[in-house]
Amino acid sequence: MTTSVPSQPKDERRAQWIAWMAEISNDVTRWSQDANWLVSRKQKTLHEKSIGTYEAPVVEIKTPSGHLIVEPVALEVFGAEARIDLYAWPSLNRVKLIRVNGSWKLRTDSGIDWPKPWSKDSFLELAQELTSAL
Amino acid sequence: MTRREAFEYLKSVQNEFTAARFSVAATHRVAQIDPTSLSADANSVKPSHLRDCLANLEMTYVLRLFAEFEYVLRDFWQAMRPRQRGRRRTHMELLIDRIATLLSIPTETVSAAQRVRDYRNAHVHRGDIVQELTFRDCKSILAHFLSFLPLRW
Repeated sequence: MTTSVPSQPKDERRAQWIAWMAEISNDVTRWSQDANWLVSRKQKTLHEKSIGTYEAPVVEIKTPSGHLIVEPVALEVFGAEARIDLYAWPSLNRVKLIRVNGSWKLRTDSGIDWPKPWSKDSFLELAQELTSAL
Repeated sequence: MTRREAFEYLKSVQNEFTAARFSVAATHRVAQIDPTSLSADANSVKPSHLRDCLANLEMTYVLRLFAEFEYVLRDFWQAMRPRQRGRRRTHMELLIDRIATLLSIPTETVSAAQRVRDYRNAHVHRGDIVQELTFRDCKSILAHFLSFLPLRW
């Protein structure tokens, strides 16, 4: 039921995922800095049977209304090709950034698609929504 | 229901398991020292009953744990698919996969939850146990799956 491509060699798949994570973390870092928000980055170690152990970038953002964390979850997920979470701390309000048919899509925690595509504007809007929601 | 409540359901089973294990083990110890301590019991509890109870206690609570997990998933699925109310109950294997697809849950988290389901089924239906799991293993796996549910539904 997963939609990733298992025939692709393990190393290629891991490299592709690492490139996707880097792209997203670089984008949210740049967009946050453009908004004059404080950004810090760290790494976390993830392990998935299909692609082995790898380092994933975690971005922590301090917005005027609260903390936001952008954190990769897994390449191998049900119903999508990869998943990265955006969540507010400490409320844990969360939105998923999932890869479907080769492009990133935002989906709410309840599984409802966000009406706008993944972009700087939608990120800034979501950051505001997630950090200000109770 | 909230995700916090869902976690509490699992936690309460763990608390009961801890209390039951403590109580049965203590009674078993006393009975080994003084078998007459059980004689006043109207239900004729024997030391061997206590020994068997202790031996099966962990699995008994794994069944309880899985029942709570199933209750949470069915409650969530009914909230997500209210029009399907009253139809045939979805098998747990399928329900786990459907919720995983709706919520984009990592494959390994789903496989682990299915392992607990297989383990539970093997015990209930006296089938072959592929891999032994402790109560702690099961709780950790099922709680991790629940962490992907929304904060409330």
